[in-house]
Amino acid sequence: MNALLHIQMDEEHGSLERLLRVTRHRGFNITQMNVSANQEHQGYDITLRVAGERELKLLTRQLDKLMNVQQLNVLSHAHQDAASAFYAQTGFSESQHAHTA
Amino acid sequence: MKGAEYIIDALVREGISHIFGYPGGAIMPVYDALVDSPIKHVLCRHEQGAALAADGYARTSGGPGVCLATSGPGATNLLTGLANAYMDSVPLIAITGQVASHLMGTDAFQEIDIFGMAMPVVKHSYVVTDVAELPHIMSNALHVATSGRPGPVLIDVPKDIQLAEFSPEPVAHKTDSLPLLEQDTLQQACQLLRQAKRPLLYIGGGVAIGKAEETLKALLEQWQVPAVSTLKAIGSVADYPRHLGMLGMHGLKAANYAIQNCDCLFAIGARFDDRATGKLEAFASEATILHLDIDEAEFSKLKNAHLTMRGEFNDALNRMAQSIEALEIDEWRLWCEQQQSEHAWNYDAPGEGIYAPAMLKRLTELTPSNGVIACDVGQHQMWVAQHCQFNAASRHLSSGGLGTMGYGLPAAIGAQFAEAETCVINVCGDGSFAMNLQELMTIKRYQLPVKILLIDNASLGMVRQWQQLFFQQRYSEIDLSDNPDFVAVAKAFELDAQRITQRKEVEEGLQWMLNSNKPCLLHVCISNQENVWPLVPPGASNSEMMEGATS
Repeated sequence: MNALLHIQMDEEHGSLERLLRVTRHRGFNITQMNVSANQEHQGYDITLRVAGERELKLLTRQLDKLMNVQQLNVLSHAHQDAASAFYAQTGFSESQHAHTA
Repeated sequence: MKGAEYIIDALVREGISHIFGYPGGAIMPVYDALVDSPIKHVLCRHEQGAALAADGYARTSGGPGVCLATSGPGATNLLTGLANAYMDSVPLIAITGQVASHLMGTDAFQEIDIFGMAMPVVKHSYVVTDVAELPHIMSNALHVATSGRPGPVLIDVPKDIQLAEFSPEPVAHKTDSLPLLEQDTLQQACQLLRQAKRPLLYIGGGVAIGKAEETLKALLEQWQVPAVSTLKAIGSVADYPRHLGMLGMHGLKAANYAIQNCDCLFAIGARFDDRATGKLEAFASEATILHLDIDEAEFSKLKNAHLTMRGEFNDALNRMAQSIEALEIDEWRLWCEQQQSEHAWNYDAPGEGIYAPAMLKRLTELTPSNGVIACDVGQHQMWVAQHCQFNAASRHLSSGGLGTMGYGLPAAIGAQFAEAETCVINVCGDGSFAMNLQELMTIKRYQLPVKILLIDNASLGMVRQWQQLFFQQRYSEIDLSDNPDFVAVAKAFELDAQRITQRKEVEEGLQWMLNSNKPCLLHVCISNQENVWPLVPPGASNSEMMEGATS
C-alpha cells in the first residue's frame, strides 16, 4: 500500500511531531514529505507519501483525530485495501461520517 | 494577575473542586495561588498516585479530574496515570510546572521534555509560551478533555509564565454538540435488526461515557434482546435479566457462546479489544455487525462492521426504540436463557479455605447499591468483574485498557473525595497493593473511610496462572511468600486491620469491614493455587474456553 496525503495543520507547538508519531505508531513509513507554511490558513501545508501493510483508513482516521489537523485529503491510493474488498464482497457500503472538529 | 493565579481561577470557574498533586520547585507559584483558593488540594504521596486518584475521581463523578506536579520527575511520574486515562477515555487535566522558558532545552535541573514524553498518552497537550495564551489554553484544555471521546490533556507551564503578570482577556466558552445519526443509517440498522433471528447487543464503556445507560436500559427492556458487556461496561445495564455478563478472555460462558452464535451483533461504544474478542476471525463470525460509536477511528479498526453508525447515543437509541417496537426472537431468547442456566456460576469449592469468587459475590450482596469498588489488576480484578454486581459503570473502577497494577488504592481515594458519603472499597491483590502502598499515608492524612479488601495469594497470581498453563510450570519471579505482615503495615498507617484465613470467617470479616466508618483493611489469605476460570487461551476463539478445578 502506498498513498499520498495532503494535510492542512495548525502551525502549533509540536504539530509536526504529532503527525510523525501517529504515522509511525500506527504502522506506516513515510517515504516522502513536504512541509510549507501557508499564510492563508495560518498553518502548514503538508504532502505526505506513506507506505505500509495496513489499511490506509487506520492511519487517516487517527490523523484526523489530532486537534491540530484542519483538513486531510487522500490524493492517491495505490491499491484497493481489505476493507474495500470486504464491502464489495458483502454488498454493504461503508458509511461516510461527517468530520467534526 | 499572575499566570499561576489565572490557572487556579480558571479551574474554579470551571467548577473544579479538587486537585490531586504534589508540590515541587517549578510548580511553586501555582501552589502559592492555591493557598487563597477554595479548591481542595489532596496531597498524594507520589505523582502516579495523584494522577490515578484524579482518574478515580473523574470516573466516579463524571466530571474532569485534575492533577498537578512539578517538572522533571514529578511530571514523568504522572505518565502512567495519563496513559491509564488515555486508554480508558477518562477526562483528565494534568498541569505540570516547567523550568523557566530561557532554561528550556538546556538540560536544566529537573528539566525534562514532558510535552514530548506525554504525546502518545494524551488527547492533546500544550506548552505555554506566552502568558497571554493562558485563557485560551485553559478553556480549550477543559473542553478537549471532556468533549467527544474524553481523554487526558497536559498543560506544561514554565515557571516564568506562572509568575508573569498580565491582564487576561475574556474567552468565549467553547461548546460543540455531538453529531446525530443520519436517518438513512438508522433505518438500515433497524432493518438489519428486524431481519435478525439471533440479535445480540455488545455494550462497551462508551455507553456510560455517553451518559446513555438509562436510555439503553429502556431499549433493552422494550426489545427484550440478549446483551453482553465489556469489562468497562459492567454495571451499565445493571440487573437486566437478559444480560449474559462480561464477554472475552475471562468472560462468562453464556456471553461468549452468545457472541459465537448470534447472527446480528450490535456494538455500542465498544472497540473490539483483543481481550474481548479472542481470535478476531472467529469472533461473531456468523453475524452482521452494526457498530455505533462517537469515534470514527474505532470503525473497522480491528473487525469490519457491515454498518458503521456515528452519532450521539441517547438520540440514536431513542430513535431506534421508536422505529422498532418489538423483536420476534422467542427461540433465541430461550436459547440464551438455557445458556445462562447451564453455565451459571458454581460457588461450591472444596476445603475450608477462602474461595475468593464466593467472597466477592457476598461482598456485593452486603455493600450498599451505590457502593464503589476500585480494583487493581490481575486475578482479583477478573473475579470482581465476574462475581460482583454494580448498578452503574461508574461504580466499578477498573483499569481496562492499560491494566495498571497499583490503580485501585489511589482510584478509591479519588472516588471517596468525589462522594464522601459513599461506601468505597479497594479490592486489591498483594502484588498490586504494594505498587502504590505509599497512598496509605493519603488515607491516614484525610482519614478517608476507604475499605481495603486485600486478597493475598502470596504470589503474582495471574502471571503464575499463565506460567502454569502456558509456560510448562516454569515459575519465574512470581513468588511473594515473603510479603510483609499486611495487618501490621496497615496499623502503622493507623488503619484498623484484621486478617482472615478460613471460609467460616468471611461473613464476620466482611461485616466488620463494611460496618467500619474509619479507614480499614481486611487481609484475606487464599490459596496460591487458585486460578481464574473460564479462560480463553491467547490466540484462541472465544468458544474455546478452558475450565479448571478450584483448589
